[in-house]
Amino acid sequence: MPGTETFTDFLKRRKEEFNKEPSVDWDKEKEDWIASVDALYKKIERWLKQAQDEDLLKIQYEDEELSEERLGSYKIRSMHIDSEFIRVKIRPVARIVIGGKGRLDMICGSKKMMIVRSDDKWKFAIRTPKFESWPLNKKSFTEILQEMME
Amino acid sequence: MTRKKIPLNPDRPRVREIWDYYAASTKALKLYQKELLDSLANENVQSDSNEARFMPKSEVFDLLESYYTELSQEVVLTLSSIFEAELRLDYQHRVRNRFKDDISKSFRVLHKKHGERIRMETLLNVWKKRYSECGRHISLFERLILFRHWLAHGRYWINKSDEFTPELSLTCADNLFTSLPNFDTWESIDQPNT
Repeated sequence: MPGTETFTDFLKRRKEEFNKEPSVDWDKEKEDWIASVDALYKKIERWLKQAQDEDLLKIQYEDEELSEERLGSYKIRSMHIDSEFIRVKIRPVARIVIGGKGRLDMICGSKKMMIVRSDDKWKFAIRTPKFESWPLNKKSFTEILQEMME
Repeated sequence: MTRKKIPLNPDRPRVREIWDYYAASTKALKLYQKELLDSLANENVQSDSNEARFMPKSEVFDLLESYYTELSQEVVLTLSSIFEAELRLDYQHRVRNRFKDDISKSFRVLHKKHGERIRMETLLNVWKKRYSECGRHISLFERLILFRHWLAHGRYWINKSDEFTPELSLTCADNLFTSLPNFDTWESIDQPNT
């Protein structure tokens, strides 16, 4: 209430409101998130195995450090899909996002596609500016990868 | 030669209306901001905002900042167009009523040459010449017009002039119009909190 509430009280009230939520084990959430990203990477490796075996693609990882409220700072891997001519990077953005349980960005130059985690399922999502999302599977992933590499 | 009078629009927007719109839109944005932050704070609180969907907090802040900037610039554009209209209305008012003061006489001379369609810069130059004591207010107003020019042309070049908020724009116009003698068409308003 402006006028009656001091600035410090205001900050305390907003902090309390912001943190008022059902008890969530954020350490477990962080572990789940990192494990879920690793599981996705494994799936992508399987989808790209043939191209790797034929020496057309190479997959590498890089450690990234993310910092999020409640989760603190933590290490998580980003995936690099390298061909001889271009690199596509899959980079974790955050576990805590609006309307989902995590997001990665798939980036190639100026092209960007969101990979989002919702109800323990991974999906592609894009704003063009209309929001659209569709399941992430071998077919959709290789289509998007090809489009990005073109 | 008889020059055609510009038919005046009785429903032209007024500063008060635009200011109320600005206040209401700011309030709506603050509510929207609260909805997004609540949704980030508590995953059980759903937001149906597609434009912010899957955004982390840092991107939500960038998005909100861009919306506040957009609203501010939209309002500055509308306000400054109203200020321009005020200057032109004052010109017409003085010409049509054939007032005897120096500025009205100068305007009548201009009117013989240009009619009612006259460049705002020309009007400002007349004011500057006749009332040099208002020069500081006119200079600031000219900077506002430069900013308006940038907004109105789609901001396609990098703006090197001053940036104006709605609050500063209104103060700038109010200072000018209340310092100009007999600028009767201007209705000064107090700036409420937005």
